[in-house]
Amino acid sequence: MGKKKDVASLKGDIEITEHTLPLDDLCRQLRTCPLKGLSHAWAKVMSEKEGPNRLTPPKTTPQWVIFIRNVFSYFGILLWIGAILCFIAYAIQASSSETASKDNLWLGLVLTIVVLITGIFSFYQESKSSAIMESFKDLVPQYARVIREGQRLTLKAEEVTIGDLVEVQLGDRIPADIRIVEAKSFKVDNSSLTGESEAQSRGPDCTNENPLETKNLAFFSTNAVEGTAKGIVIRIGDNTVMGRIAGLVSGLDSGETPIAKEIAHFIHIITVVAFGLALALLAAAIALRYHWLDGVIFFIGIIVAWVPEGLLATVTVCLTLTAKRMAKKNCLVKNLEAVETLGSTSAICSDKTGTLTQNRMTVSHLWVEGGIVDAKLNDDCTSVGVAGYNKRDGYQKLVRIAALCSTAEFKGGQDSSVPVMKRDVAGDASEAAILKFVELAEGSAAKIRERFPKICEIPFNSSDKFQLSIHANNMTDKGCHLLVMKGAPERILERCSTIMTNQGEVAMNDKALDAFHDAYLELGSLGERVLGFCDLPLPSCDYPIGYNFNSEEPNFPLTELRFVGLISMLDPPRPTVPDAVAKCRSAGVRVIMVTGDHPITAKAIAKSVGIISPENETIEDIANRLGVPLSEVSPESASAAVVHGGELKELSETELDNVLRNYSEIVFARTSPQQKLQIVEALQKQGAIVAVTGDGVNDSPALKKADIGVAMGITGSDVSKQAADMILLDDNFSTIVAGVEEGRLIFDNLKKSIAYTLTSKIPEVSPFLFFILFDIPLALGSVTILCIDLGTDMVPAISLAYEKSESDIMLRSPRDPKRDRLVNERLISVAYGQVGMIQAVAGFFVYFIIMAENGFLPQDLYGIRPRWESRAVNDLEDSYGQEWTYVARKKLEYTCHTAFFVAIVIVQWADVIICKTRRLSLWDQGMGNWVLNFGLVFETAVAAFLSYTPGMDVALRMQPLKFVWWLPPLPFAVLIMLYDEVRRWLIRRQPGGWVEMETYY
Amino acid sequence: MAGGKAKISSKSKSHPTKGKGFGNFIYDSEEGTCFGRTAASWIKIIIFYIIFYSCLAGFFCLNYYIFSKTLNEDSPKWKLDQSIIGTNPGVGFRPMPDQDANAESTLIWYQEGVESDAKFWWNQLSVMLKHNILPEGTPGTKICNDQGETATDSAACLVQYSDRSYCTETNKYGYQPSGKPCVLIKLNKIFGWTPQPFGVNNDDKFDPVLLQNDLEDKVKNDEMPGTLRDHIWKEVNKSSNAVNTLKTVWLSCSGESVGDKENLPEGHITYEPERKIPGYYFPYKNQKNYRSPFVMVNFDIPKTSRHLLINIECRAWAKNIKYDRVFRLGSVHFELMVD
Repeated sequence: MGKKKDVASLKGDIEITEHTLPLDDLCRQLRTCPLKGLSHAWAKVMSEKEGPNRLTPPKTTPQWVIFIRNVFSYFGILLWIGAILCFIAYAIQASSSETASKDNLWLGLVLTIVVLITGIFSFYQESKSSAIMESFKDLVPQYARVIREGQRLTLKAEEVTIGDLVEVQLGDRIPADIRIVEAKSFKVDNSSLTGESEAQSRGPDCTNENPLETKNLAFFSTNAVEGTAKGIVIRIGDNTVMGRIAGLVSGLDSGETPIAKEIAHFIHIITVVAFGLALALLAAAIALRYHWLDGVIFFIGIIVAWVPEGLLATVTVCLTLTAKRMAKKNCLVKNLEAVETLGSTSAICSDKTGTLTQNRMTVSHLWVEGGIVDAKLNDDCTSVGVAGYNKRDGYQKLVRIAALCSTAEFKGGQDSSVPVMKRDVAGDASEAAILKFVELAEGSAAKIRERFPKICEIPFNSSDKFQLSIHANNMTDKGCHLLVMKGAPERILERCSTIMTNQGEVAMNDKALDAFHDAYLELGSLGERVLGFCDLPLPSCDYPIGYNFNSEEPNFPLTELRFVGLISMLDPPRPTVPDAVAKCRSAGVRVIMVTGDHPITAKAIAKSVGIISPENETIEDIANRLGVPLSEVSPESASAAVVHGGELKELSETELDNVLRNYSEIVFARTSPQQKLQIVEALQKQGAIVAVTGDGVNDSPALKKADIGVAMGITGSDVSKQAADMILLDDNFSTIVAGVEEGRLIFDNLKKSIAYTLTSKIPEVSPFLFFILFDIPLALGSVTILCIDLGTDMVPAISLAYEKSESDIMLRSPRDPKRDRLVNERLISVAYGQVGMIQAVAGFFVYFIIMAENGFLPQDLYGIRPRWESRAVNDLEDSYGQEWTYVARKKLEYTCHTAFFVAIVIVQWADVIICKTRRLSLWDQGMGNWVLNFGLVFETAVAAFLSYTPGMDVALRMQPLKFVWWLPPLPFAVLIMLYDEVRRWLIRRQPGGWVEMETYY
Repeated sequence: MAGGKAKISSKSKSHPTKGKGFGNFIYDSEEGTCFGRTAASWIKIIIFYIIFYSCLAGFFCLNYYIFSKTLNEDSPKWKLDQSIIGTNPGVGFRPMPDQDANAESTLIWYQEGVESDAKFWWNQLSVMLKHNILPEGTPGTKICNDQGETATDSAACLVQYSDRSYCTETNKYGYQPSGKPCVLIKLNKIFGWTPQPFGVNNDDKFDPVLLQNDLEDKVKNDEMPGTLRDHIWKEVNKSSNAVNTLKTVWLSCSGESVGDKENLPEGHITYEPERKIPGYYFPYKNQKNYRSPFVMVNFDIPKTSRHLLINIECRAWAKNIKYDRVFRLGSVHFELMVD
C-alpha cells in the first residue's frame, strides 16, 4: 500500500521552488554562502541528516528468488502438482500392497527432475544476460569540486550535501541538483533527462517557473559540455530529479508478458481437459465397481498422464533459440519471455533523440547566394556534396567563415583513418557539426585556419547572441584582416548592410531581405537549427598589421557587415529508420514518437522518417494550407497530430484516449517522463501491446511500464537499461523490426510445437483408459510415455522453432491478444480430437497385431485384465490354448508397450510434418528445415536404440521388436498426412469457411 | 497521480466486457449459445466428429481385416522361440484361491471339518477333472501309451486317471478330516513344445552314462531332489522301453525352505497316477479335444504341522526346462495351510 502511494507521488510533477527564491533567501535557508560555501561543521550536520548523495541502487532481486521464480513458473507449477500427485498415488499404493509397482514414484521423481532442470536452464539463461547488464554499470567513482569555508576541496560525489557550493566545468558530471550562482558560457547536455538534443546554456537568472525549463538549475548526472559554473546544491541523491525518476522506475510493475499470459491460458485449458476427463473416469471406475482407492489412483494417473512433461523444456529451448538468434542481430533479451513480446506489439512509442536520430548534430542545409542547398553526405560519409555550389564565391566565403568563426577542434590523438563523422570534437554540438562539414566539404578546416590565424575573438554570449573573431589574412588583396561573425540569423542580419547574392555583393534590399526570411522560415520549419554568417574584410589602411584589436571594448566595426549565408543543422535520422518505420507500418504496428524535444524538431524528424507519412497532415498543416485560423479546421479532417506536453497536461484521460484513437500518426513533444508513462498506460488501456524505445533516464518509467522496453546499448543510460527488457546493442531502431519478425515467427512456431506435442497425449492416455474401461492389458506404460515426452518428441518439437514462416509475417497485423491465442479450442480439437485419435488407433492396431500374432486375439483380451495382472496365475490361457506364465505375458505386454511406443514415433513423423504448416500445402512449404529432418532421423534412432539395446528390458522394460512390427503404423501415418493436407486445402479453398472456423488454429 | 487514476478507471471499465461469467458461458441467452456454440454449430461439429470417427473406425477395421488374413485359425503365427511365450513352460496348480477376493494370493487354506470351506477347494478339482477327463472314443482323441502311441497333429491323447486313486471325489480329494489334500499340478501348454529327455542321445538311443551325467548335473546345479533322481533310475530300470520312459516331464514338489521341508518331509508327498507327465502328450498342437495332462500331488501333512503355513514349490523336469524361482520358470509356488 505504502509503495503504491509512493509511486503515485513520484508520478506527480517535480516540485522545486528553490530556483525562484532570491539567492539571499535561499542561502539563509540553507545556511550557506554563495562565495564561501558551507562551514565544515554544518556540512557534517547536513551530511548526517540527508545521507549520502547517491541513488539508492534498484532493489536487485536475490539470485535465489529469481531461481525460485524460474522453478515455479506457470508450467513449473503444473509439473509440481503432477509430481505431488504421483507421490500421493505411490503412497496410497505402497500402503495397500507390498508389491506395489514403483512407477508412480519414478514418474514423480522424473517430473521433479524435469521441472528443476528446466528451471535451472532458464535461470542460467537469464543470469547470463544479467551478467551482460552488470558490465554496463559505470564503476568509476565520481568526484566533485566543493567550496567549503572558502576552501576548494575535491570530494567524492557521495559526500556532497545540500547547501554545498560546487564548481563544475566542461566535461564534468553535475554532482547534484544545483542552482547556478555564477556561470561563464556554461552549457549542459540535458538529453538524457529531457530528450533535448541541443546543449542548453545555463546562467544565474531564473527564467521560468518550471524547474526543467529555467536557466538557473542544472541537474544531477547531466553533463556540462561547455564553460564553467558555480552552484548551490539544492537536492541530493534520491530527491534529485533524476533520483525521482529512478525511484518511479523501481516502483513500477511491468506486468506479465503476453507469452506468459498465453501459457497461463494454455495451462488453464489443459487443466480443464485433464480434470474433466479424470472425473469422468473416476465416475466410470466407480460404476464399474472398482475399489474407491483404485478410482483415486486412476484419477491421479489420468491427470498426471495429461501433463505435457516435455513441453516446458520445449518452450524454454524454443525461446532460447530465438533469443540467441536475436542476439546475433544485436538484440539482447534480458528476460526469455520477452522474446515473443515484440511480435505481439501493436504500438511502438519511440523516443526521438538517439533512437530515431543519431544524437549528433549535422549540417543539413546551406543558404547561400539566395538558394537553399542540401548538404548531402555521400553514402560512406567521406565527403559532402553541395550540388554545384562549391565554386561559387558566396559558398567559398561561407565555408571560410564557418571554418574560422569557431572554437571547436578535433580532439588530439585521432588518426586520420577515423572517419570524420566519427571523430571526437571539443566544442559544442553545432560547432562540431560545422567543423565536420567543413572538413568533409573542403578537406581540411585546419588549412583554412592556418591561412587565417586568429588574432582576436569575442565568445558567444546569450544577450548579444553572436560570436566573432578577427583573423590575419596572409593572402590579402583587399585587406590584411578578416572579421568573421556567426550567430542567431536575425541578429546577424541586423548588423549587415550588404549581402552576398548570385550577382555578388549587393547592398541590402527588400528582395534580398524577403529571400532571407523565406529561407529562414523554411529551414526553421524543418526543425533545423539555423545560424547566420557574415564577414567583413577590414581595410588595411585602417587596421594595419599589428593593429591592437580589443575584444573587451571593440575597436573595430560590429555593424555594416557583409551577410554571407545561413547554415542549418539538425540531428539527422538514422539512415535505416525510415525503412524500418515503413516496415512497422506494413506490419500493422503503430509508431508513435514521444520525445522531450521541441514540437517543430520532433515533427520534422517524424516526417522525415515516415512516422507522419507524406500524405497525412496535422491540423496546423491544414490551417496553413487553407490559410485559415486553427480554430476553423475540424479535428476530424486531420489524421496526424503533434501534441505538446503542455497540451497533454490539460487533457483528461478520455481526451487522451480520443487523441490516441482518432489520429493514426501522433507525435508527442516536450513530454515529461511522467507523461511518457501516461501515454503508455493509455495505450495499454486500449488493449494495445506497447513497446517503448528510449535511451534516456526520462524514458525509463515508460520503458519499465511498457510490455516491452527497448533500451539502447551504446548511448543508453544505465537507468534505462535497467528498466528495459531488451537492449539494442547497435542502437539501431531497425533492429526492432527484426525483433518483431522473430517474435511473430516464434509465436507461430510455438503454436506448431505445442500442436505437435499435445497430439501424442491422446495415444499416450488412451491405453490407460482402455485398461480401466475394457479390462485389457495395458498397451503403453508410464515409462514409455516418458520416453516419448522427454525423449523422442523433444527434438522434433524444438525443430519446429526453426520452421520458416508460411507467408510474409511482416505484412499482417499484429495478433489480437484477446482473440488470437497461442492455444485455442481449434488447436485442441485438431490435436486431440482428430490427429491424436488417428495416432491412438495406429497404436492400438500394432498392439492388437502383436497380441494376436502371439496368441491373444482381440476378443479374448476383453476382460482379461484381473487374471493378466495376477502374479498368482501362472497359466493364463490364450486364444490358441497356450498357457502363459506371469513373466511371459508381462514380456508380451512390454513388447506391446515398445511397439506402441514405436508406433507413436512413426505417426509422430507424420504429425511433425503436418505441423510444419497451418495453411500452406506441404508442397509449398517444402522440407527445407534440416533441423526437423534431423529430428525425424533422431527420434527414429532413439526409438531403435531403446528397443534393441541389450539391457533396456531391465532398465526401461523395452523389448526388441520384430522388424515387421514397425510397419503397421505406416498406413496411419499416411492417413494423417493425407487428412491434414485435405484439411488445409479446404482452408485455403474456402477462406472463412467451416473448416477454417473449426480447425484453423 | 494521473497514472493512479488510469489504473482505477481501467479496472472499472474492463469489468463489463470481461464480466461474462461461467453461467453465461454454459448458456448465453443473448447469443443463443451453449458452451460457446449455437445449436446449429453444435450439430455441425457433432456430425463432423461422428463421420470422422466412423471413417477412422472403418479404416482400422479394414486394416485389421487385412491383417487377420495372415493369421491361422488353429496355430498361432509365432511359435516357440519365435513367439514371446518361448520354450520354457511354466507350471500351474489347482485349486486356486478366490481371484476376486485376492488376486495375488496362492494360499490353499481350509479348516478341517468345515465342509463349506473344504468344498470351495475340492469342487475346483472336481470341475477340472470332469473337464479334463474325456470318455474314450471322443472324436479327435486316442489312447496313448509308452509303447509308442503318441499324440498326432489331429488326435490328442486322452487324459487317463484311475478311479482307484486317492484323489477322487469320494475322498473329497483329501479335503476332509484326517485327509491328505490333493493339489493338481500341470505343465503349461506351449504350441509345438516337446520335452527333451534326460539320457537319450542324438540317435534317440538310451545312454546310461548320459543319463547319469544329466541327472548329476541337475542335482548339482538345479537342486534336483535326490529322491527324484533315484525315482528316474528306478523307472528306467523297471521299463522295457527306456527311451519312451525317459521321454517325459518329471515332477517334484517339496517344501520351499529348510523349515518348510521340516514341516512337510518329502516322504509325506506322493504323486498320482505317476510322478511324471508322459511324453506322448506332447507336442500340443491345439488339437480339438486336447486336454491338459496332470499329476495329483498328495500332501500328507503331519499332525504337528497343522495350523502352519507351508510354502511348497513344484517343479517340472526335462532337459529343456530352465528353472528360475524369481521368474517362476519351470516351477510353481503355493502355500498350504490346514487348520
